[in-house]
Amino acid sequence: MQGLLQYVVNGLILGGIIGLTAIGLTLVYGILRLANFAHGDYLTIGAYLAYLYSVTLGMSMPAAFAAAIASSAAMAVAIDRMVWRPMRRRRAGLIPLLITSIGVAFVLRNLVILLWGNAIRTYGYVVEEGMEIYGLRITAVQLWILVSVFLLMFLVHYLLTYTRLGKAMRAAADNTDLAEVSGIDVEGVITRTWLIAAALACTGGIMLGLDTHIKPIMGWSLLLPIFAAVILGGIGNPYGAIAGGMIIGMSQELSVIVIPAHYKPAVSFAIMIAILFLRPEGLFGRR
Amino acid sequence: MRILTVEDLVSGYRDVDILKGLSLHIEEGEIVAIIGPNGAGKSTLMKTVFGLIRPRSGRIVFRDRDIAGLKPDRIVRLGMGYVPQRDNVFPSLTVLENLEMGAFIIEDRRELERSLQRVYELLPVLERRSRERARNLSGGEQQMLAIGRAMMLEPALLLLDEPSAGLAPALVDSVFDRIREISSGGTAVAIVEQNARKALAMADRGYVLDMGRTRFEGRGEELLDNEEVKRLYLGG
Ligand SMILES: Nc1ncnc2c1ncn2[C@@H]1O[C@H](COP(=O)(O)OP(=O)(O)OP(=O)(O)O)[C@@H](O)[C@H]1O
Ligand SMILES: [Mg+2]
Repeated sequence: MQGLLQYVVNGLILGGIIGLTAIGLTLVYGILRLANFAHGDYLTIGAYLAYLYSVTLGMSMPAAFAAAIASSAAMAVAIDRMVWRPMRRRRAGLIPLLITSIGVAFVLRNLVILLWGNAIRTYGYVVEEGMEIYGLRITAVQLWILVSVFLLMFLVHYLLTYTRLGKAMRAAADNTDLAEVSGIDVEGVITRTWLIAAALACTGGIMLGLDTHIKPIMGWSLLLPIFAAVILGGIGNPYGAIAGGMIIGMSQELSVIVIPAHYKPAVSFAIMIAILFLRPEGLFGRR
Repeated sequence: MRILTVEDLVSGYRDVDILKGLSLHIEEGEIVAIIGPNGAGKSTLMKTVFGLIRPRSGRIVFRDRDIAGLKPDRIVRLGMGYVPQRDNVFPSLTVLENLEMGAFIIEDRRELERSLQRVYELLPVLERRSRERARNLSGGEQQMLAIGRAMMLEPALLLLDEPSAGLAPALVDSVFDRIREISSGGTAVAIVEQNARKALAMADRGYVLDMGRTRFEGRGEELLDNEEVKRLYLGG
C-alpha cells in the first residue's frame, strides 16, 4: 500500500512536469498550427540556463531560476522572429513547419552539447533525506515541485478564462482571421503565447533537473510523453494537456508495478498509439 | 459624403487574379447591395477591403484614408466592421466572450458594458443566450452573434457577406429587419447576398459583379427592373 502511494507521488511529480510543458506545446499548436518538435529542447535550454545562472555564475536559486525563465522566453520569441514568423508570412503548411521544428530541435540540442558537453550535471543541490509524511518519503524539493505545478496550472487556468489576453488567445486558436477582423493584434498574442509556453517549458526543465539531473537529451526524451499528453487531451486544449500529462506521468510510474522499469517510456507510446486508434480527437476533444 | 471608394482594385490568391480592376463606392449611411454569381469575387472583394488579402494594385479609400495594405486589426480601429461569409463566430467562446472580442480594442470596462447593452437591445436573443458557447447556437443565432460582434464598436461602415445564407425564410426576414435597424442608426452597410431580390429591394443602391468586375450599378429598383440584370442574375 505504502509502496503504491509512493508511486502515486512520483507519478504526480512526473505528470505535473509533463503537463506543465504540454500546456505550452498545445497552446502554440492551437494558435500557430505548429506541432513543435523543438518544444522538448526549449525545456533543455531552460534547464541549462538555470545551471548557467546558478552554478556557473553563482546566483541564488530563485534569482537564477527567474533569470532562466526570462531568458528562455526571450529565446522563444527570438526563434519565432527568425524562423516561425517568416514561415507564417508565407503561409507554410503543417509538414514544412513540422520538419523545420525538428531542425530547430537539432540545432538547440547540439548547441547545448557544444557549450556544456554530454555529461550529466546537477544543480549541486544536496539531496536531503526527505521527510516522512504518513510513511511516504518526500523531499522538500519534491514538495516544492508539486505545489508549484498546481499553482502554475491554476494561474494558466485563470489567465485563459478571465483575462483579456487569455480570451484573445482562445479566440485566435479558434480562428486567427476572425480574431484579426475583431481588432485583436494576433502577432502580439502569438508573442505572448511563446513567452508563456517557453516559461512553462523552462520551469518544467528546472523541476526535472532538481528532481533528477540535467543532460542534453532530457527534453528530447520527454517529447514523446509530452506529445502523448497533448494528443490524449485533444490537441489544442490546455486543460486536456494537463489531464493528459497527469495520466501519462501516473501510468509511467505505476507501470513499474507490473513491467520492468526500463519499459517506462514505452507506456506513453502505447497510450498514444491507443488513443490515436480509438479516439484521435483525444479524451476531451469533440468529434 | 463618400465613406468608401474602391478604384481599379486588382486582387486574388497566389498567382490568380480574381478582382480585375473593380471600382465601386459607398456613401455615408447608405445600404449597398452587392450581387453576382458564385465565384464572381464578392467575398474576395470584402476580404481585400478588410485587409485579409493584400491587393495587387488599386486604391481603397475609407474616410479620406488609403487603407490598401493595412492589417484588419488596424482597419477595425478606423471604424469599419466585417461579418465574414463563413466561420464568423468563435465556436469555443461563449456568446458574451464573442461580443467582448468584437470590442477587444475597448479597454474601459464601463464603455464595454455600454456597447454590450446596445447590442443586446438590437439583438435580444444574444442576451438570453449570453453564457452559451457559440457552437451550441442555431444557425440563425450564430448569424445574429456574428452581426452583434461586428456591431460592438458602432462602426461607420459594416460589411456583411451573405448574412442570410442557409437560414429559413422567416429568419432571413428577421436578419434583414436587423440590418434595416442598423442602417437607421447611421451605419452604412455593404451587403453581399444570394437573396438578390430581397437585398436590392432593401438597398439604396446595388452593384452586380461578374468575373471580378462591376457589370451593372444603379439604384436598387433600377437594377430590379433592368431586363438584362433580371435575365442574367435574378433568374428571369
Ligand atoms: N482561399 C482561396 N484560394 C484560392 N482561390 C480562392 C480562394 N477563395 C476563393 N477562391 C476562388 O476565387 C474565386 C472567387 O471567390 P469568391 O469567394 O470571392 O466568390 P464569391 O463571389 O464570394 O462566391 P460565392 O457566391 O460562392 O460566395 C472563386 O473562383 C474561388 O474558387
Ligand atoms: Mg462569397
